[in-house]
Amino acid sequence: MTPAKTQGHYINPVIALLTEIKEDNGPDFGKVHSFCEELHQGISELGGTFYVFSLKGFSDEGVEGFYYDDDEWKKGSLPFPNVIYNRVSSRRTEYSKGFKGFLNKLDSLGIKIFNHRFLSKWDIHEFLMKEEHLHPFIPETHLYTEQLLASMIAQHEELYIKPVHGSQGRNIIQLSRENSLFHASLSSLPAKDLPAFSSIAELTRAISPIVKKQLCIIQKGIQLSELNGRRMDFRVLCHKNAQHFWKVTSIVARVSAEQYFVSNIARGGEVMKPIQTLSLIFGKEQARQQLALMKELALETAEAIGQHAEGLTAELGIDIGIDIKGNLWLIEANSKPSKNFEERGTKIRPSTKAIIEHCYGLCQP
Amino acid sequence: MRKRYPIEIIHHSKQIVFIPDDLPNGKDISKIAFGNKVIDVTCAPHPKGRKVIVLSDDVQKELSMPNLSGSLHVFTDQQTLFIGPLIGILTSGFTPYPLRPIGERSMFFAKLLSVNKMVGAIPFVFGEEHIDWDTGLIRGYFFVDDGWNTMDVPFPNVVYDRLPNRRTERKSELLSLKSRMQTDYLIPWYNPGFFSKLDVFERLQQDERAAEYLPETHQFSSFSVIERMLSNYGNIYVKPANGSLGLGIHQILFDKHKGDYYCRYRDQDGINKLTKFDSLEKLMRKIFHKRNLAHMIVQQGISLLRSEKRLIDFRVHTNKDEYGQWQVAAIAAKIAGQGSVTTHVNNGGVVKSLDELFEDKQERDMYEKKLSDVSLLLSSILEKNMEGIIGEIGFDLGIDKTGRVWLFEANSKPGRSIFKHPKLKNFDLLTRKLSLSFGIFLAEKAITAPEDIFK
Repeated sequence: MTPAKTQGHYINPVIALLTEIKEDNGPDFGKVHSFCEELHQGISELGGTFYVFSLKGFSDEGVEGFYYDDDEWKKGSLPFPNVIYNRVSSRRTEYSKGFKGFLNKLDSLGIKIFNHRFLSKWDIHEFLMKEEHLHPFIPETHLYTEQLLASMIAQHEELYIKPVHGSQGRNIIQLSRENSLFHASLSSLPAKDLPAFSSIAELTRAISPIVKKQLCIIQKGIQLSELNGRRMDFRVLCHKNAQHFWKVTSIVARVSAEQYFVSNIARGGEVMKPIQTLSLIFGKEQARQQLALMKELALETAEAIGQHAEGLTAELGIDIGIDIKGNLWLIEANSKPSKNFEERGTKIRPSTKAIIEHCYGLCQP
Repeated sequence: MRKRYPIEIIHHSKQIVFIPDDLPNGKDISKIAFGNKVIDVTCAPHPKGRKVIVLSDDVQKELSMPNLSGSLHVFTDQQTLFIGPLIGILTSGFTPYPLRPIGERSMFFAKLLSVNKMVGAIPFVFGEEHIDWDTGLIRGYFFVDDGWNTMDVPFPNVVYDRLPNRRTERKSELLSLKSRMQTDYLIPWYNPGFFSKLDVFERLQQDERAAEYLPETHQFSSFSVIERMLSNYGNIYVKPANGSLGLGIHQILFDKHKGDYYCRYRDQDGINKLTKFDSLEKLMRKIFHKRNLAHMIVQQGISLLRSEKRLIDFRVHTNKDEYGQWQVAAIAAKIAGQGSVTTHVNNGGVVKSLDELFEDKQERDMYEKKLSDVSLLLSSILEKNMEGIIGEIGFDLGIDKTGRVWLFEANSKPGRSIFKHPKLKNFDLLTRKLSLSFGIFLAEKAITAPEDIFK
């Protein structure tokens, strides 16, 4: 089977989402389950076809996947799609031989896949450093070594150590220096403070079991402005439109649970409107400028990553922080951003519309 | 041969400058210049023979030279060592907000300034209100490691004109600033003004080499001209003389068998329309009743190349480079939205690279060469026939079904938004670099051969 094609125009595109599927009690698409229903609704309203499949369901003959019909997901043998939206949630899967073969197969069939891969924090850092005009917004970042820890902790009061393949604020170490004592906290739930250390050697030894397990970056801590003592950052969701230009789809302020140093919602934070949140701290006029710059900066970041990363990238969640002086900092970018910031209701959310629009754009000649 | 050296500052209070021993005429130097500021110094070869230029901090301070890393160009003329160059980028519309000092164009300027280390220059942005004529200093906006900053610097070696629109440019303060800088201070000024659509055609018509690329183009004068052109060409374009972004462009088509007139345009709601009339008078009365026809241009319609039934045209961006030679910096194809008069992206158009548009390499190379050759030829003719120093031009070109290239428009301050397209990002960087590199060329000329510039 080949993609449905009529005189160079895809009349009714077939769009598929790739993710892990549990089949014990009816199909379960994990964190993107309800998002898949939304995609189905949006795509079928436009006359297209949508289904969900896992790597296991894909073969040379076709795809075994799940399509939505009569209010439930039904299993079936489905045609090859025109476009695949990659929401595989495991990095390990993406690094497997099977995945590589799958990508090659797509290539030979002329099937497009976007959000090719998870991006590592170090890859992203290197992509962004290629853009001189972004340098003022990028905190000093290196691959972790013990020597760098020693020299950076001497220069900066606060540092972060993050696994390059981490997500959702997991396994982050926050280090700080106060007089001659060093403090470390871990972001694992529940958050844990280690006892204070009186030397860098002790500190290095204490964190070595964590940093030896996986490749980490070490990053200068930004003294983020706070809302009533709670840490705050911003998640800017960006999508490529049908014409392949990046657009900002939504911005939310994420405010951490009290006494917590990551604001990821998965770690107990809450979501607020950005302009209101910023106005409370900086006043309305500066808040407007910060928000405008935040959009501009997110677009520049998305363009840079989209240009330098392998494969097609069409969706990015970009985390931006604001320091106490009011300056903006690029904290992270995520190629598998969470879908749970916007209220769903019965309407198709803007970010879902944006994904669908881009899929249709990819199907154009 | 142009030289570039890293600049270092040392703490010293004796007006000392160390120079590399390979600098031509190094022994004679007794003055150093930054922008239009010149001071006397003691000059000596670098004691350790390093290929760097070292300034004592009192020299740096007296020259009002910002603390910036990277290597700079060095020119010598008689006893003076010129370092820089200092490139002033003139614009307007400054805001009181340090995060976005030039409003929504701040990111554009940040990107332009950020090529400084690659090209070897010190560029800054300024407005008319930042000049202090008494002290001879300008409060310049720099984009540095920690973002936007202002610093007082001397008058620049060259001015790159990025005024945003015709209205600002015509302000009396800006007109007098421009003439004062050029005549009293002998500062070369590049990319002045905005081409008018009609002017471009009139200037190009003065050169017979351009004739074959120019569709017949007139200012609107009478219906009879439109009738004649419609009977010659079957269709024509009517567009505002000073329009941009494809706004207000109308195509009029004539069906000579039935005697019907059609007008294709985009209405106020952004809908692409095609409307039929039984006479030209009715069409003009209905469609153009709100417009001043005297400000419209009438242009021969061209049967353009199409892709999947959609019109294609091309944007070619030319720049003068660091040797003062015209270069093609970018080529992109624009494919119209269905039923649209223009290929502008806001009309549903899409942007493609030539690689994407032409699958056949031979065909692509042929069109690329045609478009490049025509753009370079037209650039050099425009440069000769227009006033001022032109450093960049954006051309809107078409290719007709017989493969012939046509010019629709040329812009002296072409928009760069199409270079945000993923396939064209490298062009974006190249045009930014070239627009400053040409400033370096002019700065050197103004020092070593001013007669070539101030004719």
